[in-house]
Amino acid sequence: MDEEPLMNPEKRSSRGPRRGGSALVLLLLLLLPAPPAAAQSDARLKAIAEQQAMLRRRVEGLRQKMEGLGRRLDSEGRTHAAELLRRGVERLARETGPAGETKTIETRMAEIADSLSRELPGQVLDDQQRVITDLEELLTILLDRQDLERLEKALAEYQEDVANLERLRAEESQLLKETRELGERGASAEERDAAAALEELAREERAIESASRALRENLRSLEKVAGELDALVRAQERLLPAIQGASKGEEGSATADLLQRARVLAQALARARALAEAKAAASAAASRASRAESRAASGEISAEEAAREKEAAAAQAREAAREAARAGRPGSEATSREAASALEKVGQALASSGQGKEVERALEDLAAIEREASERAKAAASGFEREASSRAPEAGSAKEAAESAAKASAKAGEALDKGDAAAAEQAAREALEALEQAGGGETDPASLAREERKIGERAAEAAKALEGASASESSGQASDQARGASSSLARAASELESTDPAKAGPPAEEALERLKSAREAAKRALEEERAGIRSREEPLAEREEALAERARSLAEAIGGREGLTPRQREGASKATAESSRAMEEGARATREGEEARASASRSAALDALARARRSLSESRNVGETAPEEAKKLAQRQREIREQILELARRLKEKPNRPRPKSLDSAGASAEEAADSLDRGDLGEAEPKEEETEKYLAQARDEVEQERSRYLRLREEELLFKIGDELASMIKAHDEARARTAALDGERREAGDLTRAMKVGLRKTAEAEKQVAEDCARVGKALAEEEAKVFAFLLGSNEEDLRGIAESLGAPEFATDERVQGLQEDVADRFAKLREALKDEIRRRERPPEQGTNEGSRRNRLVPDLAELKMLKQLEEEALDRTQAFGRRLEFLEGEEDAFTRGELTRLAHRHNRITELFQEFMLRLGHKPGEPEDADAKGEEGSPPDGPPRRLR
Amino acid sequence: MNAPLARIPTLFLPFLLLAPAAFPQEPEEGVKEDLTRLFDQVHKDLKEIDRLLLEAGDDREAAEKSAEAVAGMKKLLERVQGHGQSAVKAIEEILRKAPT
Repeated sequence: MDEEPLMNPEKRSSRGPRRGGSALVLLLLLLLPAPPAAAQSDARLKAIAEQQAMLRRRVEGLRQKMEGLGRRLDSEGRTHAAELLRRGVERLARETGPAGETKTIETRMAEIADSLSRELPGQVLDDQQRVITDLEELLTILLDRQDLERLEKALAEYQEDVANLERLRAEESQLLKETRELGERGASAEERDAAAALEELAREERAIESASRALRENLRSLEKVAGELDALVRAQERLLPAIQGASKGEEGSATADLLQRARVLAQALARARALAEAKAAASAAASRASRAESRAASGEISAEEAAREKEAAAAQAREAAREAARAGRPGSEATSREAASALEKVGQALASSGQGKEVERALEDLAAIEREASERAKAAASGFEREASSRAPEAGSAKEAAESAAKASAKAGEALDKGDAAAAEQAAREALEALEQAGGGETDPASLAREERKIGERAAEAAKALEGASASESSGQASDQARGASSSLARAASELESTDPAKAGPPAEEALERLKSAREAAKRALEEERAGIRSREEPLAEREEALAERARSLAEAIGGREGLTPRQREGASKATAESSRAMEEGARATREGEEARASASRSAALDALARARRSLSESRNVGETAPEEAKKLAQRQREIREQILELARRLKEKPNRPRPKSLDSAGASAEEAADSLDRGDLGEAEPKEEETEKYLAQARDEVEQERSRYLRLREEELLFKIGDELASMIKAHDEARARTAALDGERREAGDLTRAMKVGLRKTAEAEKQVAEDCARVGKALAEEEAKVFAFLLGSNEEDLRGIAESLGAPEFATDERVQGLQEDVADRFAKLREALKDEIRRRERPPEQGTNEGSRRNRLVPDLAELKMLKQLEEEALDRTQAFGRRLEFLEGEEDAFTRGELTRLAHRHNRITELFQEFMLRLGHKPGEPEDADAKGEEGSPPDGPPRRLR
Repeated sequence: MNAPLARIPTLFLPFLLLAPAAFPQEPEEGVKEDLTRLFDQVHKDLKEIDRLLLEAGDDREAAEKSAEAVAGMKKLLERVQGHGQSAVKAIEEILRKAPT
């Protein structure tokens, strides 16, 4: 289906020619309008005869051009276009016509010209009509217009192919399942023993890891609390001078200015640090993904394992992004978001492609942002250093603070030069704290009270954490002191909020002292815990050493075990030995107090043990334990393969049908799977069966895609055909309308209805009746396509046209305003339909929008929204009619007649149908319409009729 | 022309699948609720119009050419207009809110 058609049906925006054969098609279009000859004068007949002869020569020329162009297109590889031309030539050569009078187009044209030259026009009319039909067929071929029958046949074939492929896929899936089951059953006693031993080792390793984590957890908690208490001490030290009401003058002003600058510097450095961390995390994730690819390429790990590893790398980047977002300190939230966003992009790149340019680009972007942040921070540090040196006050604590801030910023600059953003940030914080202690910061009592309360809350939390972290005496002391500090801080906050904030000084001082005591006690507790952990971890190291020894022995045992296949022995022994080495490393790291290294080693040991177990199960050979079962599976696999090949052969026989590429691959992998099963090597057979199933699913999807394309083509063709039908109906109805109006005029002029007029009216009535029948036929087709509203419009027209035909014909022969009004209504509905169809055709010609799956959506002839729009128009039309009816009632002033009542019944009937259509529409959308509450009806007048509104007839 | 096409029994999925212009994602929960409410509103209005037209057509007194009865019928038709305009407005809102 990659072949280029003479005209691409999917891209046709008009039905005119476009491509290689466009000249031919144009020529053909010129040939088509040849008018049938009527009774003409001799001279006119002669001219027509000459014209006919010329047309015949043109057809001959057309045939020659088609033959030549077909050869050329074929040689250029445009086989589809060449095929269309070949079919066109065949069509020209084909004889058509009634039995016994079949002729080719050219022969018929030659005979027409001959008859005309012999002045026998009466004999040529049918032949000319036949020529027109034949040329139209030729045009259809060259335009590559699909006929509905052919499309529906192709669709049915595709449907069958999809079903066959799905059936084969399901069979393959079942085979795979049974192969796995057989594998499980077919494990030898030696394999089961080895697998159990490996599982036991893995269980023990997991237990060691779990115990180690529990031991370290307390230490981590203490470290965290000690750090927190340290931060609280510093925060309280910063606030204390302000609480004590430290004086501020010129010196204070200069310090405050420097303090402000120090805050800006701290922010710049925090940004640089956050981005540096993000860059490191992103690089680590990318390296992990890259390593996984290399390992997969060298066969060390499977493609699935590599994919999982890449997913884990993407998750790692995302986790780092979340961590960056969480770590945001007050005032630097934007910075954290920036780092998190950059990491998120890396994570997305890793997840979407897992490699290549996208990841590189994301990393480059992150590196560029990080460089820029680092440069800015350096500039800020250098600027601050200059300011701090030049604007330091003359003497006193502020002078010392400014000098120490200058030194700290110089240190920050140096750290940045070395690429140590964390150290730089720390230095900047030191500068900031020095300045804050010298008198900067908050002085408003209410703000100070808030700060004190915050510190108090954190101290209380630290006290609680200390209780859970350790049962040592030091830890208890730290907890008591932290709790006491919390109380003092609460008192200080209350005093600050009182009318005499000066009283806040003593409790604030007391709080600081208690916090310092708590910090010291927590440090002691931490040291004690650190000293104790070594001794508690030693048994774990010993356990792991013993485990390593067991693993080493097991590796040797597996390597020499008789009941295993050579591949089982080799793979499982190697992986078990690797696990032993990783365990030894884990024990060493534990003794050296390197927790992270120890944990990574245990993880590596567990991975190796899992590989060993996989080696056992995947390299199993049931050729000895269950040879018959394996052979039966092999036989079934061969049968599936035969069916795949048969399907591929059948598809090959149909030149215009695409052959799914995956089918060949499915056949090949099925053959390999069958061979492996024959040998009883299930470890080798399973992946091949998986591949076969995957290729079959792909082939099914490829065919399904093609089927969808044909479905769209069929719908487009259907729309064109309906459009053609509609155009014919509109033409016939317009002619009937014009004749009715003319006859009505003549009748008024004559004052009576003549016999000729009656004949004319009968013919007009017949024509309208024919249009009514066409409406019924096309309406039925539309209803079958679920285009209910469109079908309803045609149904309404059918009903009106039958009424019109009845009125126009005997005995009524009515041509009055009412009949003509109905004709106008019919014409309006036709116009609406034509417009809606045009809209739909235009919509389908537009390419699907990017980023949507609209391509797969077009599976209905008329979409719901188009139907809803049409329903709205119908409702508006019904309202207009009701309004017009109401106006007429005013004129009648009580003189209502039967016709008026009849019209009201018709209005009610039509409206009821609109309601039904809307209900159907809702149901189609899965929404069950609720019953109306009749609120209005229960209102000012009348009572609602019993039960729901009935269908009016 | 006779292959019945599969239906998807979800209220808004057809809009997503078949809308003339593509809609990249499912409507938000609030929009879904609005659409449900609007569909019910249209349905109620249409049913009420049916009822009113039926009542007007069945009016025996009007059939007896009573001027009062005709005036009553006109009132019914005015109410038809009110419900009709409400229905059209709700459909327009559906068309606006539905994924297009």
